Amino acid sequence: MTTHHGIARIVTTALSGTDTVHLVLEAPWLLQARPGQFVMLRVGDGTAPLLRRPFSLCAVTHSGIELLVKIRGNGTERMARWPAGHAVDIIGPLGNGFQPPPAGTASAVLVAGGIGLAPLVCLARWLRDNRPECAVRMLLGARTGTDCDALIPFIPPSCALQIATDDGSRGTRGLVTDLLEDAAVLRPAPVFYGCGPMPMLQALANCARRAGLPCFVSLEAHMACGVGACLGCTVPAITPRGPAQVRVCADGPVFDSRLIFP
Amino acid sequence: MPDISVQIASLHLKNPVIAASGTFGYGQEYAGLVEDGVFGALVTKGISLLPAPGNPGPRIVETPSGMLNAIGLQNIGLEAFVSEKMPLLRACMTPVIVNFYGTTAEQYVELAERLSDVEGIAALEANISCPNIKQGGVSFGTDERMAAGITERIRAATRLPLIVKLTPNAADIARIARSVEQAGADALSLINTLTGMVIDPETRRPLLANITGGLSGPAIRPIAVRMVWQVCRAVRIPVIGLGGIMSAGDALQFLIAGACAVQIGTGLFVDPAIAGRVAAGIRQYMEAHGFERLDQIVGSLIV
Ligand SMILES: Cc1cc2nc3c(=O)[nH]c(=O)nc-3n(C[C@H](O)[C@H](O)[C@H](O)COP(=O)(O)OP(=O)(O)OC[C@H]3O[C@@H](n4cnc5c(N)ncnc54)[C@H](O)[C@@H]3O)c2cc1C
Ligand SMILES: Cc1cc2nc3c(=O)[nH]c(=O)nc-3n(C[C@H](O)[C@H](O)[C@H](O)COP(=O)(O)O)c2cc1C
Ligand code: FES
Repeated sequence: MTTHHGIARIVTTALSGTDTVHLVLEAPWLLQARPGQFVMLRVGDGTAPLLRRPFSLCAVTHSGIELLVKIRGNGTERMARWPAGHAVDIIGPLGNGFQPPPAGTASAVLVAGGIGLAPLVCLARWLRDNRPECAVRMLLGARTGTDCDALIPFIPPSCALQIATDDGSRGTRGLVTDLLEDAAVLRPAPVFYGCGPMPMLQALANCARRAGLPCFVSLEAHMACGVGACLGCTVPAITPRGPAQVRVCADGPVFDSRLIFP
Repeated sequence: MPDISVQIASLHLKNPVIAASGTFGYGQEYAGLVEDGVFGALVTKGISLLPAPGNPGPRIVETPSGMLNAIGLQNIGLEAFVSEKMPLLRACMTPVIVNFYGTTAEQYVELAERLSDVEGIAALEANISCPNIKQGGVSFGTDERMAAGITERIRAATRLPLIVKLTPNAADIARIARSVEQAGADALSLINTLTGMVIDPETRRPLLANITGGLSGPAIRPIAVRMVWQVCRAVRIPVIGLGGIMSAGDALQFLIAGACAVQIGTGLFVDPAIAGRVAAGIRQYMEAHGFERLDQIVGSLIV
């Protein structure tokens, strides 16, 4: 599906917890977008902030898209105050998106680090609607119980949810990737999907490699163009043609974990 | 309707708005977002003889009204460019200007020679901001003699219109411009990025892996306008102005300062529809002020 540049309208903006914002947007040209794809949106008309901000689709609905945004700096702070009806300049959908598991796949394990949950929510919803035979397990890692509580409402109830927090206030204490030690996670043999900090994705990739299971990771990088033109968002990878810098925006953001963590 | 076409040597532009090197890839990446033909011309990502891997990341960081980049001139190299990208570029309506660079004079010469044999290239743009590794890494573009020397050799190697792109990181850009003109350049483009740096006080580390990077965007516009104005007073050859253009009003500043055309880089990231918007805005301005041809505005600064 082709990328368009258009104006979306805010339907609702709602704060979840202290610093997570759920945005519902009306954007008719994005209805065919796939899980794992993202948009680049302008935060204002002026020159500060200047660059567009990239956000994964957290849901694609019958009338538009939803975003789940963690407030980090100037841009996301402004987004949290967007009123209903506000016009948002958006380019999308961008990137490759998740490759859906083949029909008949028995199990998928989605591993989210904090706000990395956003694209995995979109994938979980897609799997629920299109792969009813596939058992979906969501492993969510967060720093605190508060962070965790802000995210849980967006996880489809169709997922089996397991949680790890740094402070142990929800789920088990420790890293989300510690949950992969549980032998039940590997039965039946799943496809892994991950989004979150690089060390988390590295640990996930290691686990998948040891188990000989497919694993796809969604990466983040600072972006300027979002379409593959500026080469600003590259990460080192081992491609079929040898070591190279790949563009997170245009070659990704989703990669086979073996390319990124050889 | 006012005529906004421009002639630069044998290069004919339907309108004076050009996509700047490094921001429009190899001309295909913006397909679907930027219609073929809205830019008067496009400049491709700077190519070198051999493929270049570029710098490690992070490569970009946003700054107040601007951005720093340290891409490290990553490109696919001459051969892949000619065999993979030129066939697609030849199919475009938009005239193609090929930007290139080297780290020795011999590399610039070989690139210019080999590109001259390639069908479908409207002009060459030599990026002389690169370090000359035979001269201790001093940029060709910051030394008057080196800038003239390299221009003379490229000039002898090609019959294509030759645009030399100047770096603002020179002590006296007007002197460099004059020596490049005397060495045979058909036109000049300026400015390339200004070297900058951002530090995260918490970690005490630079935000770019390369430590320093090139500043672009509205933050550099007043410097770019000033430099274009100085250079236009120093040379007779056409000057293409760029640096931070976001609107028709910004582009008009460069034209009034003396540039006959403009390029847009960072502005394209922010608004892929910028070319049409700026070209239409220039036309509207001309209508409102009773100008019929672009050259009535170029260099029309009142002081
Ligand atoms: C493909 C992709 C998908 C993303 N999906 C989501 C999502 O679903 N939800 C969410 O909350 N965040 C997501 N992010 C991160 C989000 O883009 C940043 O948090 C946001 O740009 C920060 O903007 P700011 O102005 O608030 O922060 P500032 O720190 O003020 O931003 C300064 C500059 O750095 C860039 N930047 C800062 N942090 C990041 C980052 N982590 N990744 C990329 N650029 C960054 C900004 O875009 C901006 O150019 C995604 C990033 C990418 C690359
Ligand atoms: C990401 C990026 C990559 C660039 N790559 C090149 C390049 O390969 N060759 C070149 O001559 N200039 C390059 N430039 C410089 C631009 O062409 C332009 O001179 C500069 O960005 C100022 O214009 P702007 O403010 O409109 O972006 C690059 C700029 C950016 C932002
Ligand atoms: S953001 Fe420009 S190439 Fe990816």
